[in-house]
Amino acid sequence: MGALVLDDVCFSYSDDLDLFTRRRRAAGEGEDLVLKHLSLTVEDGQFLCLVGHSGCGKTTLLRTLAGLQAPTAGSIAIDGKPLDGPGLDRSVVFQNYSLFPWMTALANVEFGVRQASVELGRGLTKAQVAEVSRSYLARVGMEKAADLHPYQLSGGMQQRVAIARALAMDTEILLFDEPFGALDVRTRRDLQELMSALWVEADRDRRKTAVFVTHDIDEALLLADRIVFMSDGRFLADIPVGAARPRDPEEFLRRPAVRLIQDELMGLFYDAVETRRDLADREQVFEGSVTP
Amino acid sequence: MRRIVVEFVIAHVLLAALVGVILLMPDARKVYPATALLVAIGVIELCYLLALFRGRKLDPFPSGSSDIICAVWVLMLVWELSSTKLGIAHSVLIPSPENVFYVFQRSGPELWANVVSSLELLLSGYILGTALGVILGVVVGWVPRLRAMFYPIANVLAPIPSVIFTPFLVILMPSYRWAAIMVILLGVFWPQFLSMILRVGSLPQAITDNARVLKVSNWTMITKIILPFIVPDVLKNMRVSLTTGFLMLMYAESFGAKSGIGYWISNANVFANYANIVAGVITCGMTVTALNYLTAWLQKRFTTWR
Repeated sequence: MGALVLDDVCFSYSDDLDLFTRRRRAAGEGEDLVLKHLSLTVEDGQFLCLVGHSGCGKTTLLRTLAGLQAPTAGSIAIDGKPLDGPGLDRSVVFQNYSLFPWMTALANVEFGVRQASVELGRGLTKAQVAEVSRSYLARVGMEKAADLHPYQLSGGMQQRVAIARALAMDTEILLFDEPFGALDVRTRRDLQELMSALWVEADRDRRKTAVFVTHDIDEALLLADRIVFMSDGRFLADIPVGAARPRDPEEFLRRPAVRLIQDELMGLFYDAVETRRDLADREQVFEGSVTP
Repeated sequence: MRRIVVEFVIAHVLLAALVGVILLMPDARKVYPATALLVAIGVIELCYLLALFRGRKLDPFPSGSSDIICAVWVLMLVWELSSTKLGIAHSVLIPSPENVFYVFQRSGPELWANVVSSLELLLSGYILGTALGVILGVVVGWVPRLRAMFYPIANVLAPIPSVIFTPFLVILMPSYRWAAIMVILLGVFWPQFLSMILRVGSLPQAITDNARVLKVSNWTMITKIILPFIVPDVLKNMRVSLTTGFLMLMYAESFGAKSGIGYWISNANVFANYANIVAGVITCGMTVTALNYLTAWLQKRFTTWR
């Protein structure tokens, strides 16, 4: 279980508008929409990567999925149940500050596990919470850092702990908001491989649904079952990546079929940029022109 | 290393000179026996040695304590020579060190009782003021409407010294002690209150988002998120406001008090008993230092995450 259905989702940041604009927006119109009529079905167990240039609305969409903000129009449902604010059927890994700075790595994971246990009525004992947390820290290779505070960990290590927490909470859906966006190339590659490996492991039990936001095309190709390209608040392309895991980055990214997807996505990136530039140019022309 | 040894030797040459002068030079004034003075010198030397050997491991500037101790010995040497031994200082205004430290021997229990009385007042006002400042500050800081209302008001009231309100407090409060506690409380409350409003308001959105996606209850939000987030600031403010609290205490005790170290000093002032005044000032210094150590320890103990 963990199917995610978006139906005509719109979102706008401005909330102090007159009645007319609000009504227009309820109908999903208006210039200020960040998400524009998005409809999408993420199947249970699917790893979906949302790709797009910065400012295209992918983080906004993820925050909406996390329940941190309500859609202005349209609806989101998880397994047929309409989404109503944050919930522990989802766990989230943010780009920064996913951990509480005053808790050790272990305490951070335990906190998430305990919250999930209480909220979902799992009734884990203190010892079980600790055991689960330690085992997930070990899975991401952080068992030695259990008693360190976030300020004592590098950015990559912090994200490892955040991933451990998200997985240890054992939620149906995992949401990732550019979790490796602030890391250097080497660390990023290590963590991509870790994510890949964790997903292979998960194949054996039961796979989770994941929505992973990134602007890194190679990252999306290595991780995703399906890549959705976003531009200016709309979905522009929906590309399946049907390849077995694990995917060795050196070899996988050189496959002709993968190169084709890569090219397509690169094309979309540049098209999106072109379109934006075109629009800007047109506005300039418009402003510069003198009506006779 | 060599510098430390040189400083150590200089400090002990000065110490030997001081003790030598006290014991061997004839007195120009009639003074009490030097026993208490020598005990005090022994205690100071002990503190120095403790600081020095602890500092070898922890303090990056171990010569600090040596410099301080040299200054102390020189000062005491000048004091002893000018008063007791040569009698060139004013005999009333500059009491002999023998007489000053004899006060501790003669009136030790009385001084101690005054310190206890002062600490009761100080800690009551200090702890109440801190607690109120933290609780109200967190509530006001957390609720945007309250913050918008109280932050400007607090900014107007906070800079007004609480001693200004003394006449009102003396009338409004049931007893002198409560008036004194209120003066200290107000002095400590405002800075803590203001700082808490700002601190809670500055809780990063990333952290609240993180808490929200984990669906923390209000109670968990307070105990596991907000409390640990503000603790370092609370402790920092406590260290700073200790000085304010002590100032207010000294002020409060100099009007209408019947006990306390501030009363002791102002009472000695009435009788021009300068030995008692200096002994009182030394006691104040020791009390403040002890409290400073305590708050510094608390700060170190409970700020583990940054």
